[in-house]
Amino acid sequence: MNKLALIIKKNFLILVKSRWLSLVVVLGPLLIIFLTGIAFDNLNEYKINIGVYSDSYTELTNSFISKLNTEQFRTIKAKSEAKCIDDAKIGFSHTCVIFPANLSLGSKNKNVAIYIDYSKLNLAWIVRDRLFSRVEEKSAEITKELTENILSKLLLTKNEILTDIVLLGLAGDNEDEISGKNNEAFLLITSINTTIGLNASDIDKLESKISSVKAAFDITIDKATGNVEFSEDIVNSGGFSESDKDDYLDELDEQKDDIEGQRQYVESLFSPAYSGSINNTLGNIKLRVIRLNLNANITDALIASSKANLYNISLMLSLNGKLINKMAFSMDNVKKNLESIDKLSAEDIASPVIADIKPLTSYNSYLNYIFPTLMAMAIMFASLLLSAIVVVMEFSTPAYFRNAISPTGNVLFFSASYLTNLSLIGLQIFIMLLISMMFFFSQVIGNILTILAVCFLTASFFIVLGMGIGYLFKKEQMSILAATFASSIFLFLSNVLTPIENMPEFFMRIAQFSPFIISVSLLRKSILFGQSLISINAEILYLVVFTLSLLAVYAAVYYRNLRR
Amino acid sequence: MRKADDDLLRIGNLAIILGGKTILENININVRDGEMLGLVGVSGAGKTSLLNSIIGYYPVARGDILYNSPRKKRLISILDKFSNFRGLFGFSAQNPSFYPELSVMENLEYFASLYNIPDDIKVQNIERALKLVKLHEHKNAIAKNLSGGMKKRLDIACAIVHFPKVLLLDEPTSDMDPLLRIQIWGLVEDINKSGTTIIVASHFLSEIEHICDRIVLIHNKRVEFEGSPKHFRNIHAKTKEIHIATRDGKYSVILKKIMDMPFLEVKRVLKKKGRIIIHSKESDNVINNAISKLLRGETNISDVEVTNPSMDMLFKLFVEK
Repeated sequence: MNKLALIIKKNFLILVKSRWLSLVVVLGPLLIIFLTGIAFDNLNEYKINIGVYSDSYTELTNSFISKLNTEQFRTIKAKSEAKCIDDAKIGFSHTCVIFPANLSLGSKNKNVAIYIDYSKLNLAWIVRDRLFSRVEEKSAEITKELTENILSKLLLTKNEILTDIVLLGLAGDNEDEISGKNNEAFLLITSINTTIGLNASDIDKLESKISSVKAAFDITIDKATGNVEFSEDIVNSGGFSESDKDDYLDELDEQKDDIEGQRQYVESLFSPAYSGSINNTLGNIKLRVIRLNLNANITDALIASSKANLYNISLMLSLNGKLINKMAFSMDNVKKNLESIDKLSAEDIASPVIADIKPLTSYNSYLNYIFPTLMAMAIMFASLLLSAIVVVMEFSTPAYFRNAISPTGNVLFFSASYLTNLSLIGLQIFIMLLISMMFFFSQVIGNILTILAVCFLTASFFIVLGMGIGYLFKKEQMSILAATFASSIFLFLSNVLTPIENMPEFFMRIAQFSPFIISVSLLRKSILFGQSLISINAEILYLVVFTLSLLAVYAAVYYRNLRR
Repeated sequence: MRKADDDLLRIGNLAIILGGKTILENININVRDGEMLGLVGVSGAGKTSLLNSIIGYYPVARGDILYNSPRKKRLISILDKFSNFRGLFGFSAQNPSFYPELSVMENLEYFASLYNIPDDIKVQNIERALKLVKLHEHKNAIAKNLSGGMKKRLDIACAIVHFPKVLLLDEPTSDMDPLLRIQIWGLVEDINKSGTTIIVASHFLSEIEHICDRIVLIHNKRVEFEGSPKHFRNIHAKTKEIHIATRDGKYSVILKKIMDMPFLEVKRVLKKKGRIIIHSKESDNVINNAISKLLRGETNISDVEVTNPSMDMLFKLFVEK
């Protein structure tokens, strides 16, 4: 058997013969996984006590409290705000919710204060998330109620509008009729002829014409008398028998008499009395004509005004018609909009989008989700502690001196320690993988090479680091402390206790390169998501580089000390 | 007459400085092939440091250690490439150095395997070592369950399992009862007789004077004496010891009488184990005369004895000088 194998055999024999060490170091992490597995092998929430307080409880406050009082939460009414907060501080309750006094819809003070003990780390986040979701659920319920109320009002409004649209139609029809009548009236008024065709000057002209007629008559009478007298002269001087003469003269006399009679008649017509009467009549007529003309003018003005009014009415009716049309259009739009709202339920409006959180992988236990992290933790703790202890055991054993003076190089002892640790951690990994097959049989079997490679690299890094701790501190207590301290740092700078995203950016950037975080990530990807070595090669490379860097540092320190 | 070729190791002008403190300087010791060399010195004299430097565990600040290679037939420095000479030495430290959790056999198998010995020879060596240390019957016993003497024998067996040329023993009998001491010295002699050169460090000069061929006395960071125990006694044993015991344990009267004897020169008076020891350079006749005078009329004296001083006493006197 070669030397390396014999040293490894010796290491195993010592570890196996140290029963307590075997139990603590080898079985300890497995025990942790087992216990954690039992603890987390369900999907139940935590039983969380919520302290509540309000100066004055209202129906809304009580509805909130009853909403919180679910399977996951148990509400405890505190006697005062300070007591509620103190209870959360001492751990009697996990959180404290202070409702404002007289909380009601529309009240000014609607701030609900939630006091969370963030020192409880992950529990605080769970409480916060669950509590907020409960409060949000209740808020959504209230929003839904309010929305339902608004929707019923909108429905009523829609019905009113439907009636109004019909009435608007009627109003439009009436308006058309009025407009027609208005046009008729306009035409009617327009058709009114107020022309008198007679004015005072016409009467004056009549008078003058009457005078002219009399004058012309007088002239005519004079002419006719002259003509008759001329004719008598002619008859008298002409060769007419007397008889004829007489006849003619008689005739002429008669004519003369007629003319005279006419003249007299006309003269009688133009007698001052008669003429005065005519003149009076004409004057009256003239006055009446003037008055008529005045009235006609007034009527014209009134007609013009009425026409203007009718025109304005027509314009206004036209405008009104347009307005009615527009209103009808608007009403129609409102109706359509209301109809579109009417198609939505209150829930659609109150919660237009529902965020449904779905797991990337679907398992029936928290253990499935935390198993890769647990496995990484177990590998880290076991590797760091075991390798530090194995190295320190070698240092503290009485046989160390004999090893040191033997012709066997330190590199061989280092390699033997590494392989011993790797074998033991390998055994743990094997058992953990067997356990994991209960949850991820197909994933583990289907991706076994990648998972083994990830486990090997993770274990190698932490074994080499743990050995370094052992070589550095040399004393068992100090090494265990240092290994535990190192593990704690890796744990704190990881997502296990708090999300690294909560850290200051500088630390977050550093933490991203934490070998533990990389290991957890690699195990999650390989076990939960079945990713191949190629797809996770960058992170694999990180672990390889970290491990080789550690070895390089050790080699540098070793050869420097050797030269000294 | 000794030949130069008899030297297996030559330690020349060796200086050891640890943590800035000079432990030893200008150490010159020749170790002969097959001899048993005793390193003697008070606690803290640097015996263990010297042994640790010889096996390469402590660094050597100055000087050299030369090995007379039978193969190369010349002296070669083992410090130049010490890893090549680790198999040359076996070492049994003051505290046993083995795995207490493993059995005797497992320990021997393991340590044998560290010395690149072929498997068949390894088996022979283990059997031989077990026989030498007389642990054959306990080969399957867990080391931590062995008695003190057995643990020491197992430690020596681990040191010789590769049958080194030189075995270094550091205080092999410290914290042991006389019977165990005799057993261990008997074992050491047996190993020496089997041809192994032994360098044994002890501050019990009386114990090693009878088994060591030569002793090297280290004092004040350097070698103060190198030679046989007999030679050391011859040089330093110039007084006699008069051991006197009284019945009542009171010595003031007796001491006054002795001091009043003008013919007896007293070099030193010690009180040890309820009796007084008077050192004197006078001859046996003078001493006997003085004792006769002392005993005359003195009834309190229960015992008087005249002896040569022990090697331990000589060593003490040497150191105190």
